[in-house]
Amino acid sequence: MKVKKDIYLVDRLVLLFLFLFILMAILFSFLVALAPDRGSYLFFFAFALILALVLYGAYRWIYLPYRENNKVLRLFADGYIFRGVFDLRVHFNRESFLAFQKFKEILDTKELLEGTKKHAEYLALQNQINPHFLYNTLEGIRSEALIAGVESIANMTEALETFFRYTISDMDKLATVEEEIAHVQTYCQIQRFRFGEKINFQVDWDREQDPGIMQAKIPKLTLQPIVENAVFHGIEPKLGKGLVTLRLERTPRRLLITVSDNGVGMEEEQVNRLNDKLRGASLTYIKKDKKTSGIALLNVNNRIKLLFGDEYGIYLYSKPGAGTDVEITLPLLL
Amino acid sequence: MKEEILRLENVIRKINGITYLDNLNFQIFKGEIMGLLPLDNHGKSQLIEVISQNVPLHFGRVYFDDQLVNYYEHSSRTKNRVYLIDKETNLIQDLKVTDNLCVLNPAFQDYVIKEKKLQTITRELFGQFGIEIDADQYVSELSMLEKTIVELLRAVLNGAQLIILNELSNFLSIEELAFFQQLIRYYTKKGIAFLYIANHHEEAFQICHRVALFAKGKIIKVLREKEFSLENLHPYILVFRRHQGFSEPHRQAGVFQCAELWTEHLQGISFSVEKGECVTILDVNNRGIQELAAIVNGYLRPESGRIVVDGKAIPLRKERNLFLDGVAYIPENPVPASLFYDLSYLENLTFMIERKLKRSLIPPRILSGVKEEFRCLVGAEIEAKDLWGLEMKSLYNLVYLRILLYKPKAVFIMQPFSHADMYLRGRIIELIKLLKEKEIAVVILAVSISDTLSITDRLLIMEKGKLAPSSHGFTGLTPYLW
Repeated sequence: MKVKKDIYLVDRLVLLFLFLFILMAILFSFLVALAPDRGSYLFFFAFALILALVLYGAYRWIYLPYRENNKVLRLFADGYIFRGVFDLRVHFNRESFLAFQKFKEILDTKELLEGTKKHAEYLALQNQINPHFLYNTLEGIRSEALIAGVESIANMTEALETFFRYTISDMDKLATVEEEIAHVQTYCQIQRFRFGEKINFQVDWDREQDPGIMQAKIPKLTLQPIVENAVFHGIEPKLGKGLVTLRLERTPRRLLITVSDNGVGMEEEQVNRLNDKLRGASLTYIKKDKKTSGIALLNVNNRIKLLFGDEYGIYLYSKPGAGTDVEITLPLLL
Repeated sequence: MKEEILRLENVIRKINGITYLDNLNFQIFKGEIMGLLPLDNHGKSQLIEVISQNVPLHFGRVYFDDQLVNYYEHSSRTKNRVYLIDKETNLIQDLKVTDNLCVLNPAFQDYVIKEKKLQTITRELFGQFGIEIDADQYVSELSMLEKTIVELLRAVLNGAQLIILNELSNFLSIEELAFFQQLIRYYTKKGIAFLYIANHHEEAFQICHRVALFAKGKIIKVLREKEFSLENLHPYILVFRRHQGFSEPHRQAGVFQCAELWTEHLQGISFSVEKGECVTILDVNNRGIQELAAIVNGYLRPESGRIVVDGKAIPLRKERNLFLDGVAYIPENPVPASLFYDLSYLENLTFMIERKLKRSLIPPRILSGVKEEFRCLVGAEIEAKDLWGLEMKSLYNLVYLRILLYKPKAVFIMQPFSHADMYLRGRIIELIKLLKEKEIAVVILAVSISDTLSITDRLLIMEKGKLAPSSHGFTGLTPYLW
């Protein structure tokens, strides 16, 4: 981005204040010089006290909020935050406040959400027409047919049908954790036709401590893309059996979901890069033509942040040979 | 349902352009003991600072007791209800235990100090746990364990909701640690959370509910109780293979011998160390090794006993520093304790060499000889005008290479691995091996076993000031340590 070389309005104000301050300083030194002649220091002390109070007040009341606002705008420009920019503690003036609100309305999450939703649908559609996905599934059906297991063909077809039905249905809705897990199980069932016993999936949660957690609401298609990522990038390249574990925990305000796989893991640079991208909400990845890694994670993360706020989202832990943990933080909606 | 007492979200903390905490995510639940294993020390003190006080952040949010207390836009600099228990005590040493516990408590509102009433409260508090600490005793008179217990009780009385325990095994012995851990478990049931910073995974696995691995200012993995195994830890750590078994106690006289040494806490200990041998004395009660170190440094005269260095008996009629007798000493955390940052590398390296050479002035040709000899070991660092720009690894090199230059018969090292991160510990092991190769007898004084077994030839266990008859075949340790 080109930065316009100009004296900004606030810079002009700073210059003006500096000028006034110099004038005050001259006046102050004049008073200091006069005080011994007049024999009274009272006015001099009163002036010094008022000046100190004014300076302190200006620091606390003007300079600190100004610095905070600058920091927030800078973080917004650097892509750290998205919605946070609309919630400044002290706005510059009434007009800028109104302008920010209007800006929020125009660029409100609805439009961006529409973008991510469209992209999620696109990814889902891409999966449906992905030749590998289709061929491998059909290859599975054919193999089963050859072995003359009519029941298994029926099961497989049913699983596919369930999977597509859930994927294509209304994206606006929130789904329960139970529904999402059922969808992941269907997905794993389909993958097992291809990978056999290599793909294993388990759900880990404390029934006594967290009753009702299965009925918590989360955005639709939150878990399956992450599990799919774990299968393709973690477990598929790995030798031997793979396990994807979904761990559910809740606090009074948050739902914490961890998707762990014991796959090949990722290099540190890649983890750092992804975590940096996951920190804020950005739609730049949609514009890119080629498929970049972790796009499903970014999509899910964006939807969460746009729906619920910057404080929710995804964080990644991974190490080559140690597998990957994807930690999803959501508000608890019951 | 779990309740979060602390939540750090994407926290980035930068100081003077250096990123100490890098997109750090981390939470601790009420009543939980959360372990923290720092693989390196980068950002550790900044993490403690961010948890304890709401200092400015470059980015991120901090929630304490489910309330947003600090975030990128505004940091109030207020303190959270967090208490840090470290080797450096927060107690007022010149005040009594009662005063530290009751009078210095923010909740204490009385205008008149009723000593008897406070003593009763203190005694009742100690009585709950069967602790025998005199409420009238001054803190300076307490042992490390007693101080740590008083700190814990003070934290609880002050209303701390999260207590940070920083590397307890650096100052508590195995036995003391086991007792203290009982207290920790008791308070978790009362809803108090602990951040247990440990320098060894076995220690953390024993007590923690979860363990987070911390490296380069971020959490790189969180292990849950079910995942506590070396196999899961393996990809993240450097593994130092344990020394292949302990050697048998030798029969001939060693280069350093000590016979029937008696002090207040040493109960007639006798041991002998050969050239190039490494012996670890593990003090289960954390009493005796301090006195052994004091004897070597000339701060304490043994009541009776004999010390023989290279066949020569050392007269012990009065306190005597054994340095000139060929016994060197490396203190715990030796960098601040034995190096001078404003002196050059060479001046630090040759510090006190004049006493060794028994000359008041060292001829320049000797200094340049030393310089050239050590240049091949440390490279261009030998030319450093001061130590300010050097890394910790280089400073540890300097401490141990100085010993190499003195060529003592034996060297006593107090807790060599405390305050060192995983990478530094690897380097310390190499340096101790170097001393052994130069036929210097090495005696490690330790209260925790940590990584000492990767270099130890013989382990002597000291219990109540006495050395166990034979520590050969000491068990209870995994074959790999880091």
